[in-house]
Amino acid sequence: MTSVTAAVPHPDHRILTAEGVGVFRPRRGGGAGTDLLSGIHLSLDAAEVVAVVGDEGSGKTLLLRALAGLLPPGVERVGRVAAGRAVLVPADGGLWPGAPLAEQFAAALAPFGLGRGAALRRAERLLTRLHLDNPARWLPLCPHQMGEGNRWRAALALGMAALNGGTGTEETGGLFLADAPGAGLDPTVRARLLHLLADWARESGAAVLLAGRAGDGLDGPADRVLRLSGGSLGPAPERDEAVAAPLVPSGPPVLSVRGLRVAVPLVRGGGGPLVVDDVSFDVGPGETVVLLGESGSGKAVLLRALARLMPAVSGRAAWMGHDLLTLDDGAVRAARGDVQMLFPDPRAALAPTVTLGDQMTEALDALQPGFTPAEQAARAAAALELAGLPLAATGYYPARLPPELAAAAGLARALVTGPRLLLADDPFAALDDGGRGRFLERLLRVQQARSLALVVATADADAACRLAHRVLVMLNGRVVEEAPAADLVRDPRHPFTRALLAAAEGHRPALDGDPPGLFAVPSGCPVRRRCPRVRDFCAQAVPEPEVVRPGHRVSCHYWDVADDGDAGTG
Amino acid sequence: MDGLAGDGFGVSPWRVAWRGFRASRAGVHGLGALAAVCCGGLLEPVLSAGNPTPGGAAKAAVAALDAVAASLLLGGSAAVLAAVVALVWGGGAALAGGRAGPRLVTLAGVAGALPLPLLPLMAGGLLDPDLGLFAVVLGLAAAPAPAVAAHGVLAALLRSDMATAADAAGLTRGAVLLRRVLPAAAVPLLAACWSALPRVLAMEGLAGLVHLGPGHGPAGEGATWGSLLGDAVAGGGPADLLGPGLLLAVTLWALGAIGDGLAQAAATLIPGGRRGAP
Repeated sequence: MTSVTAAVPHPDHRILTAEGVGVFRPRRGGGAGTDLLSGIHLSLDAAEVVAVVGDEGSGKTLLLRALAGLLPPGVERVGRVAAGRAVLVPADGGLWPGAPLAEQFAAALAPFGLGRGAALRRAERLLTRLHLDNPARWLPLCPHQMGEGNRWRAALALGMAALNGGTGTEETGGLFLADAPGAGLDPTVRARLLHLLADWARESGAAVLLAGRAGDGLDGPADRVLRLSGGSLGPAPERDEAVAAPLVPSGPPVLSVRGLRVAVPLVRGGGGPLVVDDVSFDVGPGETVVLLGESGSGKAVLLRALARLMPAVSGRAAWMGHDLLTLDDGAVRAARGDVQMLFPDPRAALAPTVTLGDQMTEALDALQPGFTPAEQAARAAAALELAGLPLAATGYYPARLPPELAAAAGLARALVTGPRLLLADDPFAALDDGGRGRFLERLLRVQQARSLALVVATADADAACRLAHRVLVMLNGRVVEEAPAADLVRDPRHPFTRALLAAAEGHRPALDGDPPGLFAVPSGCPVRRRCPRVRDFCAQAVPEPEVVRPGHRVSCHYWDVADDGDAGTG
Repeated sequence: MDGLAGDGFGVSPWRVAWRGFRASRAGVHGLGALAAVCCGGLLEPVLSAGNPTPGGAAKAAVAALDAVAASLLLGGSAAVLAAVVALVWGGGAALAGGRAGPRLVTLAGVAGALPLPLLPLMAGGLLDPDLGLFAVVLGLAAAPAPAVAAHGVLAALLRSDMATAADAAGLTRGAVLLRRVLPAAAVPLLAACWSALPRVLAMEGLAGLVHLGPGHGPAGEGATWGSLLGDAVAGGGPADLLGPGLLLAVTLWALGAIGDGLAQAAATLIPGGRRGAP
């Protein structure tokens, strides 16, 4: 639940002063306990937005709770915290699941002397500020009846209402603490929401402290970014991640996908809405192609169709001259030695009761029979080394591995058959910022060592542009822009691409609203309801790909129309 | 991976699950209570030999201890039958998929919502002397709820990325089932099926209370806690209710607590319960 601490007016515009704050777990029977946080010095002024980023388990939640005076049982705080009224929006948004939003807003605004009618009008205003369409329609509903995006809008608006009635001044703004706000939302939606929250803070005089993982877009709207590491708070370092080596063209494509269509099988025998619609692309030897898109874009389904883990409705995927989509079972098994897949959560994809070594041996037995046990062991050792794991990892059970180690284990399992094409479905999804950088570097090193062709699906535009030689931006099952990574960063033409890149850079994306669901895709251009360039014609026809320059194609009716000041940001 | 590789990742998942069970205070206490009940049953001959003509509450307590073996044997055999039926029913629904799977599991859900405890009462009236048939009826009456849970566990695992990844690694459907799904499902399924045991004991107690079911013989041979409760209600005093009532209550609590421990063990084995741990 959103938690409110007692109000203590502050004489000047400094909202929060934390000096020498530490959090520790006391030892039973006295004596020195375990330090969880130490030596935290932090101050926030009215209308200031500060982001605290850190890896998983770095203590971000604990810091917010210590500042709000809401520490869990069993831990204690030292140091001085002086803050005015404070609200903490917890990591899941903290909405009460069993009560309609109207009741929750009425309760939050009652301390400000607002009756039910006035409270609901104020709630509507706050929800509108966060771009919730038709808020009166949502107020009678319970949180579980809302989509993820609208639930976050409601959670943040409720926090705003509880803090200062949504309309503070520099003196009464208060301290707004949010733990991983917008976690789980698509990057453009999250970035837009955080910028709207920051706008409100600057108007209402609230000080906002956002905590979350680096790379979650918190730094965009923030005036300052701090990093929590090893229990201490310090300035955030510049990110320095590897980028893909330039591609040296070396022959014809190894994978050639043409007109691929995949449907969600809702009834027996297939039939259902298309989630991948007429996708075509080539992958050369040693090339990295990234499918960049948000949830529901069809990128993961496309990868699974290529790996023959889902049936395709039509199309062709020629791998070394054979159509992967029409091979019989025996030939598919032979091809799978060459075409391997990485899954978003390697811990969930590896069997919890079988050691990593046994899982590698089983894959070799199934896909490449004929190796002696000594040869299998040698192949497993080579795959482990490439993935950056010690030989002892053959004895690891995957379920309890930390995310970064699990990602390496998944990579080793995929590499053991010596694939020439690796299909990676959101391989950074379970990793924090540091882990993501290291895994990205590892993937690039493996690619160079093995001359792997790599097809990666991700929603992370930053990782996509670092990793890719070529990027395919996907939206509702279609490729809406395709370009070499450098071209795409320099000159994105589709409003959706611009929004993705803007979100990755921390800017305010120009697209508004949530992506349409599978059954609510609008006619014409699928992004037109969110697009700042929308014209009447956008509703009439699905845009066909047009050539911007060789190798760069875009599917937008107005890609060549001069911007109305929406250079990706709004 | 500097600083990441460490000890503990090679610990057997079964040991991890056992640690998870031990971390559940309720589970450990439940196991202790059940062990105490069993020990009481084993020590009954010693207790009755030391005091050959007990009276009142002591006599009822000795009789209740004497009934430990019969009660747990009857409950255990009925629960094993319930678990087998639940696994076949729920597992079959998960494997069948298509239209048959949801229908099978809907049927189990509907059956679970029926007043099935009345079934053993009816059977107790009709099949009074036949212990085996009574156990079968108990087992069948207790099966639907675990069947729904077993379906949930297995269906989630069959749809999981683990099964998809095993498919991508070239394992056949049979190998995916035998070497991936079933080992990962073992502890969650045990937790799902465990609930049948307190269920059958409660149903047997209810049947015995109204003087139906086995164990109402003239010399008290084969008496269960249910039959002792029934005899106490029919002709004994309140003190006669105390022994079997207390032992039944303690056993039901212990079995429920062990179920909690098993659920925690399943969650520990598969962190986050992603694979359908109940």
